[in-house]
This record gives sequence, C-alpha cells and structure tokens, in this order.
Amino acid sequence: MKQMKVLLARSALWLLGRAMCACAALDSRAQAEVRVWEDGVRIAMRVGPAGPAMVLEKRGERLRYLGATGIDTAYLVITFKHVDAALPVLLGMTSVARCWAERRMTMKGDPTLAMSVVRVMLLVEAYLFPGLITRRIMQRVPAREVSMARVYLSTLLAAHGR
Amino acid sequence: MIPQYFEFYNPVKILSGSLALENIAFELKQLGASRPMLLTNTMLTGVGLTRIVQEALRGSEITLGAVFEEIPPDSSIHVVNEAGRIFRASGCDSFIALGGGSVIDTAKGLHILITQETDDIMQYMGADILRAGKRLPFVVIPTTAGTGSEVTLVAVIAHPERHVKMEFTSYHLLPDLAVLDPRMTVSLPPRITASTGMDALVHAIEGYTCNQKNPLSDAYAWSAIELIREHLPRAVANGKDIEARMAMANASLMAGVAFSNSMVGLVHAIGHACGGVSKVAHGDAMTILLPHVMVYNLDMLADLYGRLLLPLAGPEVYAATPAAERATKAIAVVREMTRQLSQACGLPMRLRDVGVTEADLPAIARTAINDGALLLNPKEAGLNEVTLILQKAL
Ligand SMILES: [Fe+2]
Repeated sequence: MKQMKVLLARSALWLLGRAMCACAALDSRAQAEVRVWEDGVRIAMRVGPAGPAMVLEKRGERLRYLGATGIDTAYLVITFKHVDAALPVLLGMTSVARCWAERRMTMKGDPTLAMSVVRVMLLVEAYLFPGLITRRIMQRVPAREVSMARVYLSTLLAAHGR
Repeated sequence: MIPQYFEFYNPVKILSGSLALENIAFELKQLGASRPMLLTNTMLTGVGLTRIVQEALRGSEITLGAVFEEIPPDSSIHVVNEAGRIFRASGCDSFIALGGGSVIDTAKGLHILITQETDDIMQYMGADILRAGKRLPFVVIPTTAGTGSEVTLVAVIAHPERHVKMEFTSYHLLPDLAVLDPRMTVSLPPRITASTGMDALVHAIEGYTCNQKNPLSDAYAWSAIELIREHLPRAVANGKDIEARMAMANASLMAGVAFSNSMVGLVHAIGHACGGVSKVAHGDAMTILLPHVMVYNLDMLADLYGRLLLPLAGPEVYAATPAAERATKAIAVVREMTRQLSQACGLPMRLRDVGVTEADLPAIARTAINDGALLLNPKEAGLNEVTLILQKAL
C-alpha cells in the first residue's frame, strides 16, 4: 500500500513539475512570477528525506525539469514530512496553505521565493484539475488563460528537460 | 472546535514577578551552565538595566563570560557573526538575551551559529529544518511587553548584501527560560508601551483566528486579550504601576505562545512589508492595520470576532450586544482602544502619520504578498486586496 502511494506521489510530482514548466511558458501570470526568479535558481520538492523528488531550474525565460537530480544545489527545498502528507496536496484534495498550517511540510530557503512558487502552484492546479476540485481548495480559483488541453499537452509531451 | 490536526509546543520555563532576575543563577546552574554571555544594547545599558542584571548574578556561581552590547535596532548577520566570535573566544557555555525583538532575534541567530557549529547561518534559513544540535542554555529577559519573542520559535535576521530577510522557524530556537521582572519594563516610555502592547494584542487576535488555531493556543490568546484590555491603558497612563506592567509582560508572553503555535496572518504580512519598505515601527504598523484587516476578514471570521468581544470589552458589553452585532462591535472596540491610546500618548492611527506615502503602497503590497504569514490568514488575499487595505489605512 505504502509503495503504491510512493509510486503515485512520484507520478504526481512528475506531472506537477512539468506542468509548472508548461505554465511558465503558457500563462502570463506564471511567466511574470518566474521572470523575477534569479537565473539558474533551482527549486526542489520532495517527499520525506528519501522519497521521490523533483527539481526545477530557471533558465532564461523558461523553467527546466531536471527530474530528481540537483536537490543538493537547490536554493529552495520544500519537503513533505511523509507520503501521506504529500498525496492530498499533489492530487488537489488539500490546499498547500492547509498542509503548511498543519506543519506537514518543511521549507529550506528564502520564504519570498517560496511564496512565488506557491502562487505558480495555484495557477498550475487551476489547469490540472477541473473547477469542481479546485473550488474546494481555493477561495478564488484563477481563471484559465489557455485551455486545460493545451497545458496538458505541453506538460505531457514538450521537452521541458532541455 | 478541534482542528483535524495540529501541533503545539511550549517548553519555556517562565519566571515571573519580583526578584525573578535573582533566580537566573540558580536556573542556569540547573541547566548545567556556569559562564553565560550577556547580549543587549547600549541604550539598555545606558538606562541601567544591564547593571541590574549583573547585580542579580553577583555572588552566585555564575560568571558572565562576556557582555556584548553592540546590537542595533535592526540586527544583521554581521552582528550575529561578531557575537559568535566573542562567544567562542571567551569560552562561554550559555547566553542571556536582555532586550526587545532585535536583541532576542540576534540571540536566536547566535543560538543557530553555536548549536549547529557553523560559520554561516544562512544555509539554515527556512522552516522546521534545524536539528537539535549542541546543547546551549538560553535565557531571555524581555525589556518590552509586546513581541513575545521569549516564547516564539521564529527569528528574522537581515542579510544586507544578499538583500534577504532571513527567516528561521524551528522549535529548537525556543529559549529555556523567560524571565519577566518588573524592573525591566517600568522605565519604558508610554508611547513604546502602547505600541508594543498593541503588537501583543495583534498576536492574540491573529493567534485566535489564524489557520492553525487550536484549543491550546486559544486559551493563551484569550487570556492575553483579557489582560491587555485592563492593563495596557494603565501601563500607558502610569509606567510605575507594577501590577499593570507584570500583567502586560504576561499578556505579551501568552500572546507569543498563542501565535508561535497558530501563527499570524494578514496584519503581520502587511505590517512586515510596511517595516521593510517604509521603515514603519512594527507596533505602529500593527496598531494602524489591525482594524482594517479585521474589516477585510469580517465575512470569514464573524463568528470568532464575535466571541472575542467578550475578552476585548468585558462581560457587560458582550451581554448587551446582540449576537449578530458582536463581530462589528469587536472591531469598534479595537478602534476605540487605539483612539484612546492615541490621545494618551500619540500612538499613530494612519500610515501617513508614520511617513508612508501613496507612492510607497505598490512596493509595500508587492512585499506583503511574498510574506509567509499570508498563507495562514483564513481569508485569501492577493495584490489587489492588500492594496485596498493599504489605501484605507493611509
Ligand atoms: Fe508582531
């Protein structure tokens, strides 16, 4: 059971990471957030100290998806304390704010950057999940600028690693 | 109302009242220390407080290994590093922080430096990432009644070169001992008494209403507000009123315990930004912003604000106010309290009174939405909402 959860969390992190790359290219608000991040900055999200992880890197105007490599050099590391804390957030069942308030995650690094990352995550959730889901975890769901299908296509197929 | 999940931690031993300082030596000995470093600032030494602490330790088995007085009102990583150098050079084994928010934050920075055995605390910035590290007895003697830092798990230290306000949040930053001695606050001027007291009130109100409120933090917040209602006006009117001073010291501490566990929200998010961008003193920003943020939060928090009318105004007013009007009445009570303090000692009521201009607002709003406290406010707020609140408070 636990292994299934870890597997699910791994896939969800992959999806979230690549969707953040997609949104940074397709959504003007996500673009504006990422624009002010320092070039080359790495952002990591992981489950437990040894669970699945994903790392993003800002390059020029874009976000690159680095998989699980480069955590040690990340300027911001968000760690869910365990997989059962991570899954509800990654699957859109619990808000990041709530997970944070319950101290189910830790944060290493600059809180200013963390808040910007959270705003990008909220935008991404508005594309990944239908309104039925997002309305339960957000008081105001951001309007989509492009279609869900376009973000999904880019998330699943575009070469965000390069 | 019990949250689905919460955590609560407050291991700080509290010494409160007359001759509290004289017990520090005994407590330090119990903690296994004999050579503390004293951290304070030259202003407090100037008014004789450092002397009183030194006198209280005289003749005990405790010897001050060093006295570090060079802590400015806005502490930075350089001050922490300098304190660390002296701490190590003088063979100290514990430390005593005597002062307000900046001295205590510096002490917490020093705590990280020594316990983590590092030369660069920046790599430890973040939330819940510190390991326990080396044991280091840590005593705090607050000289204002407001920040509650003697019982909070957070420290903010500037890194001027990197342009970062480093934030450290960890249960391992909590002191071992908080010493509330009336001699330490009697000489605080009325204006600062009022402003720091309002900071404590905001801690209690936000602690009672923010996302991770729980029955334990509620109890602390509630009692803090009751104490503040009665004793803040008294302490402002007569600084020598020892009972009022001790009540405020305890209220500040209790509000600190409350918000250290339930966290603060939008008043602090915007208030920190006013401090960062326009150099507004923390307590002044709290005083000015509190009623405006309460109005903003009202639709989400009507029930909780309504309950707070009882500690804020007392049972007579609470009972005489129809249930549906209690929340707005609570806001009116807060406004009236501020107005009276303003008349008594010149506490500012508007942002323009403390030098904020219309042109500053966009920068303040942009900074505020990057403050972590925003995530813990029960009603979400973005750039537009924060800007509207700022315009009303200007
Ligand atoms: Fe405060």
